[in-house]
Amino acid sequence: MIITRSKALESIERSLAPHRKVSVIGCGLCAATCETGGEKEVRQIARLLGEKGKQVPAELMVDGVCHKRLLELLARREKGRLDGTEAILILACGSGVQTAAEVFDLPVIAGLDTLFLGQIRRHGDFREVCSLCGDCILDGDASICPITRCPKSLVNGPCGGAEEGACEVIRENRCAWIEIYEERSRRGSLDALKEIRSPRDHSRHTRPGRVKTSRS
Amino acid sequence: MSVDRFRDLLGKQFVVTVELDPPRGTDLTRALRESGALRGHVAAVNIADSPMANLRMSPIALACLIRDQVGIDTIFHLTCRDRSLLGLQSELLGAWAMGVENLLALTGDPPERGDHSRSSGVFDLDAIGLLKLASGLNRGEDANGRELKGGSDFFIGAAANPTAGDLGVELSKLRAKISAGAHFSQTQPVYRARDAAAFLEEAAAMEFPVIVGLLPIKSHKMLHYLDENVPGIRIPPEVRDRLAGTPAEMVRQESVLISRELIEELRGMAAGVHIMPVGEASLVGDILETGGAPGEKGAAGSKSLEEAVRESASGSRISCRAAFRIAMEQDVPVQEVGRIIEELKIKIKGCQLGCFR
Repeated sequence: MIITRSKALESIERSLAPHRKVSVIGCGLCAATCETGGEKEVRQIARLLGEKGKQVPAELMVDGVCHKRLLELLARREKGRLDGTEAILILACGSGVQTAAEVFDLPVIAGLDTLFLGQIRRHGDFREVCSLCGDCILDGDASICPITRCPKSLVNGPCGGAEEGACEVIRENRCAWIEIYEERSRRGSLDALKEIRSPRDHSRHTRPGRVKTSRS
Repeated sequence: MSVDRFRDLLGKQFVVTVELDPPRGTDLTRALRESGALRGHVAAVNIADSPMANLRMSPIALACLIRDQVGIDTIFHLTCRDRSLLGLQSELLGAWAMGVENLLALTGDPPERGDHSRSSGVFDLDAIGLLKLASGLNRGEDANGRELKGGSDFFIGAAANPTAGDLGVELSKLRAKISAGAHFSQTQPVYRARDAAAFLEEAAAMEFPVIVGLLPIKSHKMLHYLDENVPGIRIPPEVRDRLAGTPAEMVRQESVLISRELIEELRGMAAGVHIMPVGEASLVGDILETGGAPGEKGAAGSKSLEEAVRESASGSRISCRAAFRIAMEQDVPVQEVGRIIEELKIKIKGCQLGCFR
């Protein structure tokens, strides 16, 4: 899931300063789970904007602001309510904001900062375990990604700075490579660590990414 | 060795700079020979930074070696592709301590295009960020504004494209680069003086020296490649037609003439020209007509002919086409090249008449 964080209200206000009528669109998927762009947050920001003297013609939700077709449907369906809107505040990830900018012919403002692809540990506790590197090395024996969980992205770790299993960069974390060692040790596949891994292949993740599958 | 400083010459005379690619390895022979041939004829030699993201020796190291061993001022290219904010500063401090004092601050080509596509492109900064960074070091402070123990006094260049489709955008970028600390500019290739005139007038109004890029087209193949594949290079129809209508073996010579005409036109319009001979530094000598007195040509000539043959041969074989090219480049009869090839016991392959393979 894409983890997001709410921007400070002052920063949103600054972006919205030139506009009086501002509609808000939240995302029912990732941002709702993060409690940064669900119905509750959309209502809350609409109320705050109201207190700051803005008019909020429409408060809308869509399950995936990043889904262009869905958003186009929403735009058509809610045309009446959006009438007179001068700008749209989007409570979704950066992908959602840019999709909205393609769909609506209005200034579109990001209400959230987009952080990472995350694991949900428990309510409100998210952790980055995958870097979207395009070259997955998780092979079943040690399902811990050192590219992401080691701050130096070492492929032949550990680095030598770990103390009593703690990462030298982020002290409260366990060293990813010590975890990999322990897991492989448990599964009897320590031999795999003798193999020297080649440096990361950055050509597997070039920007901007694009995948287009053809459906037969 | 005493070196005429590029920064002292710029503005006082119409300068010529030449771009050389460092070796793909540690062999300095060619780089030193080529830059040696340019000594006294050009104001500075530019040393590219793994151009097109293809591996080459460190431009700072080579710039330092050429300056010290050849006695010619150097401008090293520095891109943001391979070094982080920290790395760039560290390299610049080292460069200054080594005595190389001119740089061209560039963003750089992404690694995907080069011979090490697995490499990551760092791009912590872009060209404007790098200009600001180098200016900061000149003021004696690092990127955080912290005082350094000893600063630098770099003479800093920036790239520009005088024939860009949108002159307004290009000029606003130039102004940004000037305010970020650029002292001069070396540009993308220009093929017709009037294409660059508007840009050059604006730069002159700001009293900003612009050295106009020249990329001589050596073959029909190169003409088509540049015309179709290289963004930012515009070849005007009249130049394209002139070269396309020239017999293949004369294209190089025609480009030499075009370059000479262009240089004459640019005098008074620009601060100088920047020649990019793409691996064939002798082209610069032909354009600038630096050839020694006729008496000198004999001995020196036949020696370099032998070198040229050795360089173009792969193992004990050389292609017929390469032999003809050498004859043309060195301005000697083809038979003379044939004699050297025979002497060196090298076999000719791919006869262009189809007589043998």
